[in-house]
Amino acid sequence: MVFDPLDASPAPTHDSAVIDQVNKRYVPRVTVVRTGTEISFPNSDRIRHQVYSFSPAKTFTLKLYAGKDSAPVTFDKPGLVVLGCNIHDYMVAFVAVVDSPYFAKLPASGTATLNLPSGRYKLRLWHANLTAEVPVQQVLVQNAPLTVALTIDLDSAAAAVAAWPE
Amino acid sequence: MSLRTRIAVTFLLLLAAVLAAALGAVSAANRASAQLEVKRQLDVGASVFSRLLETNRRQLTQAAQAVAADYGFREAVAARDTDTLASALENSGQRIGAAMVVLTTLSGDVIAASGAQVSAGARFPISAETKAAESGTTLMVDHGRIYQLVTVAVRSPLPVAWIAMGFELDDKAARELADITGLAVTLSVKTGDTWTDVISRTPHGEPPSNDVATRRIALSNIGQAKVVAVLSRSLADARAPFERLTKMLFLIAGVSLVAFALAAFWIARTITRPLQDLTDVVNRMRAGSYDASIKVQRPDELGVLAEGLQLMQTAVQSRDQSIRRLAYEDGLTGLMNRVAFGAALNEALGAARSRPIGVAVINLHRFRRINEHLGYSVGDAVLIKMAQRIAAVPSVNAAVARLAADQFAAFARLRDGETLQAWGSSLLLALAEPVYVESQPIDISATLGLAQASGNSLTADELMRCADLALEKARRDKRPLLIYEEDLKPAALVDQLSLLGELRHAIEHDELLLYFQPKIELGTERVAGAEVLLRWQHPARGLLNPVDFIPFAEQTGFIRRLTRWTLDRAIAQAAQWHRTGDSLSLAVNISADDLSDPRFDSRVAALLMRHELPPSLLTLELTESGFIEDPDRALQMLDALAALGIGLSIDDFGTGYSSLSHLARMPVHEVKIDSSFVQGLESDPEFATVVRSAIDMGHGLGLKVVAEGIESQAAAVLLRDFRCDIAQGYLYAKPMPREALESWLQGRARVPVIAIPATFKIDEFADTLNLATY
Repeated sequence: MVFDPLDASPAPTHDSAVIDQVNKRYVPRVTVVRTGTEISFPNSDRIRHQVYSFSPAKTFTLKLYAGKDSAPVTFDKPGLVVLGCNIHDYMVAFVAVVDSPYFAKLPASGTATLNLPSGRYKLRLWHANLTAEVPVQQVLVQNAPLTVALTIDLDSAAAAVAAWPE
Repeated sequence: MSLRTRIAVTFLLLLAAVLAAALGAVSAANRASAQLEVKRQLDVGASVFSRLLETNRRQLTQAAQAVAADYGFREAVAARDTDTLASALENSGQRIGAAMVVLTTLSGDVIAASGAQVSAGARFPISAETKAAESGTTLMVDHGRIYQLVTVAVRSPLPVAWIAMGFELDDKAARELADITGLAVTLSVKTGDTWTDVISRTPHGEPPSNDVATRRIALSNIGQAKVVAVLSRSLADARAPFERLTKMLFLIAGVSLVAFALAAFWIARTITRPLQDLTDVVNRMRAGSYDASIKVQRPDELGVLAEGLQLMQTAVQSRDQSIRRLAYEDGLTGLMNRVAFGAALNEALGAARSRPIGVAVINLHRFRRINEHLGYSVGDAVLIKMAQRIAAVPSVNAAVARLAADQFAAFARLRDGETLQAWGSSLLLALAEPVYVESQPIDISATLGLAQASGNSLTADELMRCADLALEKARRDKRPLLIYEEDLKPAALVDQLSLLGELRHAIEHDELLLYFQPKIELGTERVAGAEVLLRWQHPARGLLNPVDFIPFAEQTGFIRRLTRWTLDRAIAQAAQWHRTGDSLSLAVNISADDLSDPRFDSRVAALLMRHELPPSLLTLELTESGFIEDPDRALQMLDALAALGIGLSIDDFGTGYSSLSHLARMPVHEVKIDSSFVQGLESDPEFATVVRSAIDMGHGLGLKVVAEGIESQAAAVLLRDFRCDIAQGYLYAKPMPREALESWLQGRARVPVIAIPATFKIDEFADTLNLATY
């Protein structure tokens, strides 16, 4: 869930994040980072992994490695990056690269609380298993607490991963 | 239908039925086998076909997956480097000889393609199933070509594109399939409502067949086009081996039928041929021919039958001969009997010849005496010798027969110049010599009756009857030989036959009347009784006297019935008078023939009982001739009659031949002197002497003497002087009917009648009551 401020341009950041590879899985599977964040890909498995992305937001390849041999990758463009492992087709990770500093990865309960400055925002919601794209909404945040309730349909067996809302 | 045909046809039909059943069963089994075989081949074909598709699918899948998994390829996909992609697709397609390799976006827009007629930018259909499974196989029809397609997803790592790779199901593939399975392979495509055969291949290029079993295998389809694979098997080909077998069986059946037919006819013939032979023999036997030799000589049942038939033929022949002998031969002499003689005579008469045929009926004299005194064996020997002598007389076309105990007959065609008389004389001469039996000479003489006929003017019967009549006359005239002449009454013969019927009619219709002639006691002139005499009131001839019909009745044997009738009426009349107290003793004449009726005494007794007449009021008069034939039996009967208590009288005394010794033995009470003596009394002194002697002799024997035929007073006086007891004649009264007698009797003195009751018991004759009939 991302709130893109429409009335301000947030400053770039140089955060860092980690996506581990445990038991031939990316952990975490979904990562939300601000544009410019460096993500390192340690390999906790005893086998070697490759990491690649053909996504337009960030195309890169980490050649087969083990341990912490790989250099961190800077995700410098907003958008959804799908990560894969060339030798393990089922290993998929999603990295949502956003400009806004106001975002949250919702837990299983589906609720999150964000402190937003007053102003107008574009609300985007994405889930890998959405059956239908959730329309982008404009939200006006004022001094009072605001509750936004969104209902989504999820299907783990959906034919395709939902498109990233822009 | 003959036995032979029936046997042969039965077995042939049986065999044909068995063969038909066997052939039917084999044919059915063959058809079933052929169908089963075809089904099995189709199953195998379908299996091979689906295996082929599966193999294709795997090959395509592997190849497509290999491309999709290639990292460089995925990079190229991500980069949308279409030239690179097209070459990569072509490369991978060539590796496995795919006819089509297409890369599309997830939504089916063609990114790059190799082979086929698919170009970039076209829309390639990706089925929902394929999308869901991220891979799939399908059949696609494009530009009249059929492709087996495998679609796999290109992941990086999420699906980003599809690779569709396919083989064309082309003529080559179909040919291979056909060759492997031995089935015709057709691939049909349905467009709209029409099926179009895209590919059709027969195994090894054989010509297509119309008579086929098919298996349709529906294949996946894309869009509107439906694809069907049709596998077919020529039924004719499948049946061919079985049909060869069936043909062979038919051949075997045909040959065996023919062989069996020949064998059946042969066997039937071996049975029926001898049967036919035996039937012929039986037919010949039926026709009276017993000389057929039975040729069937076999070790089997027919042989036994033939043997039995042979024995039967011999037995039947010998029995037939015996029967013929019995029927046509006299057992003692071996001569013909009357029947055979009649037949032979008829045959001779039938043969038209100019010479007449003479017939002789020969009667031997005193033959009965020979039997009686010398025994039957001597009698038989005499008969045999006589037969031989008759047979030895030289004659032409002669036949000799024995007709009765002492009667023979012979006939011969008279030779030129030979008269019937001469032939008869030669016969007589042959018989005249004494016969020697056991060196004892036996004198025997014969009487001949002769008759002759030319051509067939007379039947054998008539001719013999003529000879018989001649014989009768000869015997009456005491001549040794007599030739039949016309006046010997063949007319009378007919006359007598009708007379017999009339006489019977007379008895049944009361045309006969009783007349009574009184008997007078000489000296006292009292009435001593009456003799019953018959009169016949003939409807045409008027009143007939006994002499007109009694001799005839005696000849024909009718006399017994006549006597019974007369006795019945006379006894009834006497009984009626007796009941009215006017008793009169009646005398009834009986015949010699009556005495030979062994139940005559019973009949008389029964009549007496029925009419309740005391026996002493009845007298039976009989002539001496009654004793000539069989004196012993006649005496026996007389004794029995006398025992009844009735009176017996000898009629015509003096005219017979009986000896005094006979007379002495007879239980008679009176004798009647014949009227011929009485009528000569006055004129001839010799007659008077005879009559007187007769009366004395009667008295000497203790008998009453009756004289009949008295017509003059002088005769009556003489008889009274001779001490004759009773007189009867016109002098006193003519025979008269009952009414006349009753009035005649009025006022006349009677000799008192002694009515002695019957001494015989009724029980003794109870069962003979029914004898009292006539």
